[in-house]
Amino acid sequence: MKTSLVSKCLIVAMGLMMPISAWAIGSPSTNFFMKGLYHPMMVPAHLLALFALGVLLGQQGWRSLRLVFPAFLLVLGASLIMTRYQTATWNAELILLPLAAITGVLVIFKLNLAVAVPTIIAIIVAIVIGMDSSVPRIPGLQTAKIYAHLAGSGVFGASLLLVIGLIALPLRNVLDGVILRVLGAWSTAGAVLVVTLLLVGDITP
Amino acid sequence: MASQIKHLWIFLLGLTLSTSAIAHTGEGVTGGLMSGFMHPVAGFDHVTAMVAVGILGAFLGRPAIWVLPVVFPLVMALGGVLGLIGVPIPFIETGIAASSIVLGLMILFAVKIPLWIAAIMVAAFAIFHGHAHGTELPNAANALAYSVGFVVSTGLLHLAGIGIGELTRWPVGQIIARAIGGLIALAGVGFLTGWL
Amino acid sequence: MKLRSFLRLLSAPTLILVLAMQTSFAAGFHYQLDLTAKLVNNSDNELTAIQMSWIYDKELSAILMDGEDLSEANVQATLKKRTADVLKGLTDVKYFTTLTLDGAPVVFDAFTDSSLLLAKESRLQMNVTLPLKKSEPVKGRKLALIVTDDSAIGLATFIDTSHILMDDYYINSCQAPVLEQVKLAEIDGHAQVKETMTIDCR
Repeated sequence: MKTSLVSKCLIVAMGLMMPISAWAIGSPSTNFFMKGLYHPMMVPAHLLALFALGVLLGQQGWRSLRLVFPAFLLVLGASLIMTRYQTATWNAELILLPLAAITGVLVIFKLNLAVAVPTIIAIIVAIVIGMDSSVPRIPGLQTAKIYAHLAGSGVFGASLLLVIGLIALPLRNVLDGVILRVLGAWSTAGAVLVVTLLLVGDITP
Repeated sequence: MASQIKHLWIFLLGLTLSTSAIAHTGEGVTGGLMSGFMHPVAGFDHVTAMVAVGILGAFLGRPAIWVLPVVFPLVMALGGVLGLIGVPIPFIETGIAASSIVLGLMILFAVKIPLWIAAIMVAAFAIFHGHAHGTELPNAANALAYSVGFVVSTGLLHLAGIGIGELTRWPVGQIIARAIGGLIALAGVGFLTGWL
Repeated sequence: MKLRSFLRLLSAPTLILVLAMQTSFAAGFHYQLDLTAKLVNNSDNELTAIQMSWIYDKELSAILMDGEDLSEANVQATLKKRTADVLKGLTDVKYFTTLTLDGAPVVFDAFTDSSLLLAKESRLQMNVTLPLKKSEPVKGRKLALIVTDDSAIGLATFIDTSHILMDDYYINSCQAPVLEQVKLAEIDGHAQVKETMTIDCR
């Protein structure tokens, strides 16, 4: 028992130490994979869209998650690579936010959707997020670092979607699915508010 | 294997805690996120109403348990839009305070009303809350981060309310939930009169 | 699905996310390039070229030289190898620079005389000469050197007016240089700044 408690404490302590040891993974400023990993965190529209989509996939069940996620991953990867050759001219926030709002509404009503519906949403989200995740333009940056950054962004986006989907999965029938429905409603509310602000106000998100 | 997985989760808990310990906030996206997250929590009048909606929904049972916490943010967004486009709504603060009083009293006295009345009432109060949030959004450092922050925060408050409401399955839980309703109503009076 | 398999499935992406969170909450990447520019004239006091010296900040220098052999024996060869890439990058962004005479843009020719050095504090220094497509008289005209990164990720800056180098002709014939910095926009949390170094020879 004592040993188990000690080992648990050790594990927690290791976890707490992790931030310090993480800096040792090739100094953080040159590690472009890590930069790519946290790049999506700087773009709340990406997070909101991924969150709403993850909740929807979890709510739709395991079949939906296992069919849609690989499609998302593939399209996201392709879109990230496309940033090397093409720049997106669309306003990503004005696509992702309404999409997050619609996805939230679908979550609220807890409909039994054909797998095509979340698939289409996932593909659009993947294209927009991918094309909006180009590597910071740094003159002379090595190609390997560029691809490392793109890979990091892809890994984070896909992982976030998967985690949210998997967490939502067992919650879909708890108390009439209230948890997911509330989260869907709030995703819609947040997205609607900011889209209004973008259209009406003079702000950049 | 089960113990390994348990250890992994404990490890992850440590990581998560350490993340919050070393995080710096206050600028750019994270500043907006944290100020959005803190806004509903720092505004006690918002906290009490969010929690009350969750408790009331749980009290009224299905489908109110999900209808009320869903109606609130959706109509709140409408109120926010009105605030953003500059449509004035009178007596905003009074409406916000009244939401705590009315919802709190309904919980205290375990009033069972039809779902449609509860939904209309919650929607009406949501307009006031939304208008208040909407007028503050343009001042936020990073509007979307702010919005995401308060979406998460208010969703959690609703869920906390639902959790409290679920306590009513037990007799002592009934007392606790109703007492909290009373406190919420009292807080509403405090907001209205300026004590709080 | 059994709890154990569920937790196993959830563990990997969660671990990735939590690890990523350790480096999170940092501001997006931003770098600074310090510019020193020299106006090159011909014997008729016509402007023929701009000699530029870009000093990269320490972090960007480390990134661009990451993984390269910077030992004393091989540093020169490494710098020579990296010159083409680094210069191509600068060329692709048109050196962040626009030259105008009385408000009209002046066209540059292909760069000449480039070199990449390691300056103080291991900061990279890129020297490059940009010849004008045709030489331009400056007497009676207003010359402006504008530097800006339209992605707002980089800050190209003169720092101050001492970073514009002029020969006696400009010192005697023109007013003292004036440096103006203007914030144009905010893009993804980065400020897009435009610096204009003006030399009035009217």
